[in-house]
Amino acid sequence: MEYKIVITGVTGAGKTTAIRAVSEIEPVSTDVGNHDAAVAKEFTTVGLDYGEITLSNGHVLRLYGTPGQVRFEFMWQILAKGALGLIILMDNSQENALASLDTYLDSFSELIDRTACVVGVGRLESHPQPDLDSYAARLAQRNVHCPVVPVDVRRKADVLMLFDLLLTQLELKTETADDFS
Amino acid sequence: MIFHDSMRDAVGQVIDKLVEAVGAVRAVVVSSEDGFELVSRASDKSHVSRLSAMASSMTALGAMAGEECKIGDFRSITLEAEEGVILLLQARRPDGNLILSVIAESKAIIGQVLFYSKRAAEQLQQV
Repeated sequence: MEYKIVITGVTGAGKTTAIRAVSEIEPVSTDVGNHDAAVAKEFTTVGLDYGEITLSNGHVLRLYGTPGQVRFEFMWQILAKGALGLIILMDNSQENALASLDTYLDSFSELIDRTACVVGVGRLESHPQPDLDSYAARLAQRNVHCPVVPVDVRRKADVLMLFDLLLTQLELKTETADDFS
Repeated sequence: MIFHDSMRDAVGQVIDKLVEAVGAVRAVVVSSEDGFELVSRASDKSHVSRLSAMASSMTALGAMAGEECKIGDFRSITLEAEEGVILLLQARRPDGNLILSVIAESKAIIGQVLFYSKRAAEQLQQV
């Protein structure tokens, strides 16, 4: 079984890093020089990132990372097609984190409704606010039911945990759907 | 990259010459490789910023496909559609690569559009 998983979230949250941390193949990356003064980083993804990982149960996850900036929203729509789950990565050191979360919840609402979603929040230790409860409250307010967890995308174990949570969510959703069918 | 006015002017001159040389051009946009518009000439300006971002994504994906297939460095993409043609070319610069997007109507002669666009891309490397 193969799953297409989309990893999105704010610029600088570490989508490219997360895929690089877990991919078994050399990841495909479309990073170019960043010219946006509002974002303090040298390179930025403008197309997509791609990586693959085989889980212990033999399932293969095909990982698609999106660009973070809203001006690349057309890539979000392209990459969401046929996906079986969404991971949203947030960077708590950036201002207006909850408002940023809304941007991704809005743009990926169809995918979130259809499949499952997990939110991973980075740099919580250095920037504790907003805390995970605030994220959870925001998601509940938006009627989105998904786990919110702290994550360090440089750590393979952290990224794998996001996939575990996502697949659990997917299974729960499928079972619930079966109950009503 | 900081887009100085003098650079904008020089880039503007290059693309004005391109528009003049090639008939039936709907739009010409020069943007940074991460999708910011630098200079454009278009009958309808409303699409320019989105087009800049799309040109950035397409060029980056094209470059990766070329690398995957081991056919060397990226030069250009030609996109043919029912009613027109889009050419995307890269101008390599030490201060950051630029992307030249040329949108021509189907009545334009593709070979001619490609010839003048490539020449313009070469000039963009020098300005």
